[in-house]
Amino acid sequence: MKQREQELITSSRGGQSCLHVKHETGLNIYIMEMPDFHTAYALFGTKYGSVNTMFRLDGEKDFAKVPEGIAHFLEHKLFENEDTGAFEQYAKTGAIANAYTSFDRTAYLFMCSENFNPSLEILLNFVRHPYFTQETVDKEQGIIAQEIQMNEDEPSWKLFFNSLKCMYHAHPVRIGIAGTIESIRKIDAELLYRCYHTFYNLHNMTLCIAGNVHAEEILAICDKLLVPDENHHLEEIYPSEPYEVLQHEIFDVAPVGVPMFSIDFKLKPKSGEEQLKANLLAELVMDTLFSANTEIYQRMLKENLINFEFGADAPFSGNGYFSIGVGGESRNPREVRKRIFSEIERAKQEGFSQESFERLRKSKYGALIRSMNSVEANASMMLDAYMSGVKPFSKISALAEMTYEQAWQFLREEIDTENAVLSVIHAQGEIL
Amino acid sequence: MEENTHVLAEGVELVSMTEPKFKTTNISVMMLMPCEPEKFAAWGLLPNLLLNSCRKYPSMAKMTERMQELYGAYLDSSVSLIGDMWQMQIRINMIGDAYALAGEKLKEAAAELLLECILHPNLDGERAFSAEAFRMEQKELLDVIESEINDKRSYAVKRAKRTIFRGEPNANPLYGTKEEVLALTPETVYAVYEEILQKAQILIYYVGAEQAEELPEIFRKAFLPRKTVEICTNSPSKCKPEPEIVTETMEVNQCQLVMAFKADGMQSTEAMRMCSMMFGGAPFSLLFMNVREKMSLCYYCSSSIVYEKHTMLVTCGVSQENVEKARQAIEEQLRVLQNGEFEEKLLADAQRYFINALKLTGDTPSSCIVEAFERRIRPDHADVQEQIQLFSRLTKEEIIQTAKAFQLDSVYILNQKGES
Repeated sequence: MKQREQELITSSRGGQSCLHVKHETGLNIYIMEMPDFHTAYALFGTKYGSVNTMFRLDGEKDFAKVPEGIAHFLEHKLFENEDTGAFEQYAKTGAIANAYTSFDRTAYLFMCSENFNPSLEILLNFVRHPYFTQETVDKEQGIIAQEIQMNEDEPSWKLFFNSLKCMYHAHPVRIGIAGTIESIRKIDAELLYRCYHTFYNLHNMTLCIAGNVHAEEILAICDKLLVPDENHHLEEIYPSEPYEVLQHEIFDVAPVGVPMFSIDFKLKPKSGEEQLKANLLAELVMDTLFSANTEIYQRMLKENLINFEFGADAPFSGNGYFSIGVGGESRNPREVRKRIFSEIERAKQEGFSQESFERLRKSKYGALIRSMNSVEANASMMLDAYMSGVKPFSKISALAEMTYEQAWQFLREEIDTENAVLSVIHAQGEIL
Repeated sequence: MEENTHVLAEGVELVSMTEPKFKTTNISVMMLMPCEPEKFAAWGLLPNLLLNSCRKYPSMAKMTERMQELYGAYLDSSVSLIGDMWQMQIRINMIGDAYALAGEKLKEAAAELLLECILHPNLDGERAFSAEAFRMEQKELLDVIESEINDKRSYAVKRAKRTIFRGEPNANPLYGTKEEVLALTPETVYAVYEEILQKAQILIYYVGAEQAEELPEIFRKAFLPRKTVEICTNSPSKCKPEPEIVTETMEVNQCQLVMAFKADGMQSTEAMRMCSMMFGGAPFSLLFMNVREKMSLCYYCSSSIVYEKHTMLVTCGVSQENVEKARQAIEEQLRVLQNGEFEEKLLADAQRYFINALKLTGDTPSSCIVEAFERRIRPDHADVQEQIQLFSRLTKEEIIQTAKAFQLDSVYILNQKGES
């Protein structure tokens, strides 16, 4: 058997393990064998999303600046190669395939109950063999323009991006993932190739697989199909981003029923384990302060300030950005903001219920165990760990060590009511 | 997986499925009633009224704390229509006993919490829900109805159904109208609740790693002798003699096009599902390959089948100037299917796709529950192995015949305001 650089990573709490292989091609491979399941789920991902807009490789003098939405455009186009499309190939194996692009990553995936190995070969082949022509690029403009229009009609999407635009002065996280109809017109085949060769280097990628699979077979397929990539030492820069938010509130109009709002706090970004712990602390603090059993929630509900849509949002973090928030529906969002700020300031001074904190820590543990039931969630967890620069299962281990004192300290030192944005979407003519 | 069915009382069954690979305990209680659209508002209010407080946990705060104590148990509900039957589902999902940090018996706690919610609600007196809880839920339901406009694609389908299923229960809004919700009282909702407890078919499903020996007894004690309604889900919708076109407007960037095709006469479920899959159910299907990929008209253009209604629904998000072009292209692709102008490969691809998806059944607790539920409520529902056989045996000729049965019934367009 071939000697490999590999490590078995285990979660004693969840009773699960995965194998991490640093493949000789530069690719990081994570495999979780789940022999009792029929499903197999594979994700082939790169650290390339909408925020990666300025970069250079070894030997290049200047940083390239590319049009907004190009990572997402590339994801669409990679499904086509010279002879046939990836979907047509998958149709021969029966696998259910898709892909997605977010702020910091692009991932190609498939799920199947049979023909796993041929489906994996399709995945590795089409992602590794780009084929773009001006004709196929032009054809895609219409499809993506409709995707952009669809997003613009989605009020929660608009609410979120309006908030990001107010929080960030210059960081590209403020840009829509698919770009704009104008920006995607600037994309051509040459630019797509340049971005492809920069970011789809195996040193920048991961293959995460969970389910009814055999690690040795997967590794044999990787050995057969993947050609080593030279490490180009990708270097990225981000515009300098001040600590303060750009603007404290934004009101926008769209056809919605009850006005929607979010109150987001811009925080100092971190990385790796530190960010993972900050995310967990943020979740615990916000849930402890604002979940449905708290006095503030019940009072606001009784006063018709909020409805059941209200709650803390999951922390939002990545390279150079970090925010947490609450959101929901309200006909008086400024009053909700006042109450939220006042509760945060009170809790900073007086602390919050330790008993409630412990219950929520237990809840969070339950949610992590529940997610381990799913083949898909396990593969996504491994991808997320790679993208965030931590080991799989780090979240459940970090949670076990979290204390009330750390949470209170986090609240006092990190969450700043002066550094928050109120974003609101309401119907035309509605006076708030 | 070990599966046992227990008939607990007339119209009350428990199906217990033991699957050691799962790390969770899941219990779902389904209640089925024949549709009475005038009761939709009251029925729509009921699930949250039952789940957000009960006699033992008489406030939302107390209920939330209880769920947090149970390791963040996930308790939720949904209402839906299956043919002309109304269904309410109340379910709980929490970690399995093996993962409880202090050895707690979570499975029994889950069953007890569900039963508390269903059988011992938060009342004022004997025959009315708590006025305070009622007011809160009434306001919430009004907000839910008002916010249906937010998701344009599903809003368009809801509006389209008013025309597609005119004269049938499915034409009515699932949560009633705002006026109907406003007319409810704690007493009227209690009356429909009592009726459901007495008459609904109650199907209970457990899926978890541990055997559930104690559950039949827990649930048996809970339900008194009763006289229940029959389950009848198959209710084909008749195609209109001439297609009806409805246009509405809104301040949107993208127009929504919804087209309904209906198949009159006897139809095989598998052939209808296969037709819809080949037409627009997957990335290799006709609508995706042609209307999206070749013509670049849209980001999504897909079909789904409401098979108990023999109705195929196509939804497409498209710019104003291309609505007509998209509509013609969708009809053209149906003609391709009807005339058999497709390659055998399309059928083979769709068969593989179905078989692959069917074999995934059993890997999630919810898919186990859905499969067992479907088998119970649809007399013609084959089990997974039989379905694989039925899909594999379908021929091109059968697909052509089924496709020919589908005729355009109605078209709904949500246009941009101010445009013609």
